[in-house]
Amino acid sequence: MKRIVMLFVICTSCFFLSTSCKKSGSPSTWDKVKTAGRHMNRGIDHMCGKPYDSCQLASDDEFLGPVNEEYIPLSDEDLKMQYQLSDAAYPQPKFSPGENGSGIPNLQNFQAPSAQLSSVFQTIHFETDDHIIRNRHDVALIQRMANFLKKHSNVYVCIDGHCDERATAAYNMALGTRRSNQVRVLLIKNGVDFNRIYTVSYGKEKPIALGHGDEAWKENRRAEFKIYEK
Amino acid sequence: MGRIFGIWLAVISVAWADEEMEVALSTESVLFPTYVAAIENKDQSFSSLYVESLEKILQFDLKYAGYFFLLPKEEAKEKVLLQDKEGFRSVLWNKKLCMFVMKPAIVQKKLSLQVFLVESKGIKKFSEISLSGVLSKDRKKIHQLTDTLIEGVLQKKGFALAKVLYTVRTPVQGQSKKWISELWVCDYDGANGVALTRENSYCVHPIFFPRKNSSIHEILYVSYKTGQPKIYLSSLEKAEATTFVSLRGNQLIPSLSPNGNRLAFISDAAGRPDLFVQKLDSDGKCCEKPIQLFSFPRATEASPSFSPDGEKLSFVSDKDGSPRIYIMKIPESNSFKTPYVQVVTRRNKINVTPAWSPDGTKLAYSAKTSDIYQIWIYDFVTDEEWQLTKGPGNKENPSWAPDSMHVIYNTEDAGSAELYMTNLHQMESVKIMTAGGGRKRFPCWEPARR
Repeated sequence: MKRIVMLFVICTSCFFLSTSCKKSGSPSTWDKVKTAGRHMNRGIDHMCGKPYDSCQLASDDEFLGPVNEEYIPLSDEDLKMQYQLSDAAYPQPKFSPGENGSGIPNLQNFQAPSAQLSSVFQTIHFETDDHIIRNRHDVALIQRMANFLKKHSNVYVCIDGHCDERATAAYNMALGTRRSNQVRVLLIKNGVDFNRIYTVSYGKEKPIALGHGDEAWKENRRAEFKIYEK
Repeated sequence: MGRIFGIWLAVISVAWADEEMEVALSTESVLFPTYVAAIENKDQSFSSLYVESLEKILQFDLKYAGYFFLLPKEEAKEKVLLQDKEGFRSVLWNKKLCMFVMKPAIVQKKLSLQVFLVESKGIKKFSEISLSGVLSKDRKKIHQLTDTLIEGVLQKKGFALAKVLYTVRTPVQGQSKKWISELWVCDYDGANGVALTRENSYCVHPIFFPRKNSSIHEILYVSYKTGQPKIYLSSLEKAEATTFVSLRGNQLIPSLSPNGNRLAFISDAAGRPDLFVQKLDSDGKCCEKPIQLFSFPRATEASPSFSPDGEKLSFVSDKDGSPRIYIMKIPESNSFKTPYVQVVTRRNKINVTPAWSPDGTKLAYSAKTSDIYQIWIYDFVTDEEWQLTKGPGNKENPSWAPDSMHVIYNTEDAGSAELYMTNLHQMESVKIMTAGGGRKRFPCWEPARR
């Protein structure tokens, strides 16, 4: 009996998936399925008594948390409860470049890596509307960058987050921030001092490829690096 | 087993949700048929070319005010109206076809306007305005006359005197991949455009910062002039700009509460693009520390916009998949636990750049509709979403006029970015011919003074 029920569930799912794909194009439908699936899973997790999106830290040391003083953070417990291990958030350096106390000049003094360093600080690319680094090559690149930065404590880095032209300017500004901060998180996780890594979001304001097709969009969804040697 | 059941339910719900849903909207016209006569230049005190320009401004004001349907000019009607009061008594005015007849005239460098109310047969006279002969100055007087007329005849507030802030993006000379973006301000119809900044940097997201009992028109905007985007305070009168919010990291997309006591913005101070709010004192200065209001793992927050009472915020988040618009009540206590947020946009998958109307009844936003970003309206009263703009070209950054009926937005396409205005009654977009050759974006309508 169980097998018959399972078979029925799978067949019905396949039927609805195939018919809905025909109606509006598969990427759109697949995204909707993903969204709806996330809601459903949450509901089921709740019913099973699992705290939603929680990921308890083993110790307080794992939580870098926002450095207090100049703003009032959300309750620490709220932040600790949410994906802290898989999506850590590390506060920005207390002083922006060029500010009194930062000890370094403003970002206009940061330069694109020299020819020597360009193999270390290579541009990292992202999927559409995504900030996660999925490519193994990019992960290895970030490890190399981290190793370099750990060896050269006089080097400061600024990560510029960029997007392609398809979403709106305002949303892309925020998405660019997400992308640059994701790269920053990985560098910090690889042992780089978080006070030496800055981020800037340019959204879609500074495309590197001026075309309007897949290739240009792919090139423009990127995180670029500028460095300053003290 | 539980997960499979969940996925199955999800697939079924999506398949049903994919069905096209039609919402019937009322098509009854709310526009009053109106005849606007040519300006009669009685003593020829101004050149006919100048009078023609004034007439165009008046016609534009009335045509896009959102209340009138302007009837085409007819020679017979123009002749009849030369007879002053007698002209209004003509049989040519049929109350079924024409509600108002407007007759402007210039005598001794003064513009007067008479409005004949066809149904009641009453005549309203609007006080004469002195004209200087300088079009850039006199067009303001025409706007003022339009606002007075709308208030006098329809008892509605006009908006023609409000200014519009926007940015102009241009390539750096000789460099194909470098751009600058400066702030500009213009009249609502695009005239009198003036550059406000000459930072040679990148300025975005300007907003007005109206202050009680202040004759200075202060503004806030985001500039990249020191590298990281930060929020700056400046004014239409002075070119200087000072840092407004003291906070680490990127500061983006500011939004001011209508009562001026809070500023919301997006910042990555804590490591994610989170929603922050900064309290402001009665002098408009930052008081207390900024508060991290909303953060969500693996999500991007953007575009805050306050409700008229300043107690709620609408904003964009992709926390549940694609970017949608959420509403949250700003907590009163100092506990600052992640507040509960409610999604309001269900019709389209991608919804961004919300703007709360000054009367609090609507939210204008940009939603991807058949692969094009169009302006949509969410009505809080009916809990319905409907599409305001149509046609090709992506449209984003809607901003409400003080009358809660007109919306200005910018198009954003490969070739150009321009400002357009539309209103909820006419739903016809008109291009705002602004100065500044380049891509015009991030329009912001001046709010009514507090």
